[in-house]
Amino acid sequence: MIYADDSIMRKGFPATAGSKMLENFIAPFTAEVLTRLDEPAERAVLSEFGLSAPGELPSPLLCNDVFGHVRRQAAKQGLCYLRPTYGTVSRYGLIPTACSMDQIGVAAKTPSEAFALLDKIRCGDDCRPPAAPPRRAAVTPPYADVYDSVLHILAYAEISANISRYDGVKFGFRAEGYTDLDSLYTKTRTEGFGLEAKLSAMMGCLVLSREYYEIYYEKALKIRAAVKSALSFDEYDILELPVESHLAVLCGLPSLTVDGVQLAADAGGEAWLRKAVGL
Amino acid sequence: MMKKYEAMAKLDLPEDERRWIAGLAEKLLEGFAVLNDINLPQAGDAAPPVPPTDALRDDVAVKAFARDDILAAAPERYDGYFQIPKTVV
Repeated sequence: MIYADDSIMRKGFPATAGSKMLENFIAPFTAEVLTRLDEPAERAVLSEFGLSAPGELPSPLLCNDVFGHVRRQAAKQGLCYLRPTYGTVSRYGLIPTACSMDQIGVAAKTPSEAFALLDKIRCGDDCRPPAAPPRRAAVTPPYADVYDSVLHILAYAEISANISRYDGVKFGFRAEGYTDLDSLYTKTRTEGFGLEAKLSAMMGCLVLSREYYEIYYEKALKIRAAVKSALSFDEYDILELPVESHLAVLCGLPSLTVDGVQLAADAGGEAWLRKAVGL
Repeated sequence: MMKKYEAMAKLDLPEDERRWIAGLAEKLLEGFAVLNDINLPQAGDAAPPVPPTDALRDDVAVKAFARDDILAAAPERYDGYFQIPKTVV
């Protein structure tokens, strides 16, 4: 049995992304990733739009993980979490959270199981098969102290834009007792969103506002670009990172969290990760 | 301060939620202040880490979703349209 987070749509079945806002939503089409599986996936409801820590994870599990909640929970349970290079797995049919970082990954009991599942769902093959054992390094990547803030600023901005579609008009929950269009929007969003979604919507409005755009959002974008351009995989193939590090998510790199460490490779370097764990 | 962004986000929070969010927002903004200490080597660009690539399909008409399928998900509908409160009185 393979599980899929409730934000991955399967035609004719509920897809709530863990939110009251979508409690009655029935998916009108099936996510590309699910069409690649040999069997229908079982629904697993984690947390609202992946914004908070999930409970016990089923395994193997397909899910998006922007904030690292799933990665940390997987590590806590002794599972591994494989996050492929950004764009490797289709996001068609994934209810969006933060589009520049959304990426369906795999939580599984072993790296072998995770890579086997990735092989089923990915588009294309590993593009850089390594000839030699990977060189590992535990160096601190550039600007490491600010990844958490950069990730939160960018994610809040994108989440705020993405969840603006939930207004009680086209799909999902609609509050009762509204008097006009504005109160329909406001009552629906106030009653339909949980606290973390409300926080994200408000913080997104803040970092994108005229007062704060340059000092928060634009600066975060520039730091992310600077991190990516300063990051070099010339002297090593695998970067050993703490489980908590957001480097891979920010830069779209593949990473494998296993045995209490997060291994990251250059974009498209899933083959290095396989080699690093003896596969 | 957060009241302004609450309105922009189309929310009208109960007082306990407003206090919780204001407290958390204050901590988040303290954390975001570290960005001010970062001097980037040059003007810096804001390009995404993975450059977008075109994945254009052939310019041909394809059948999208049927109107009824889309309307089936709407909380309220009327005569083939999404129904909302009257906006022109």
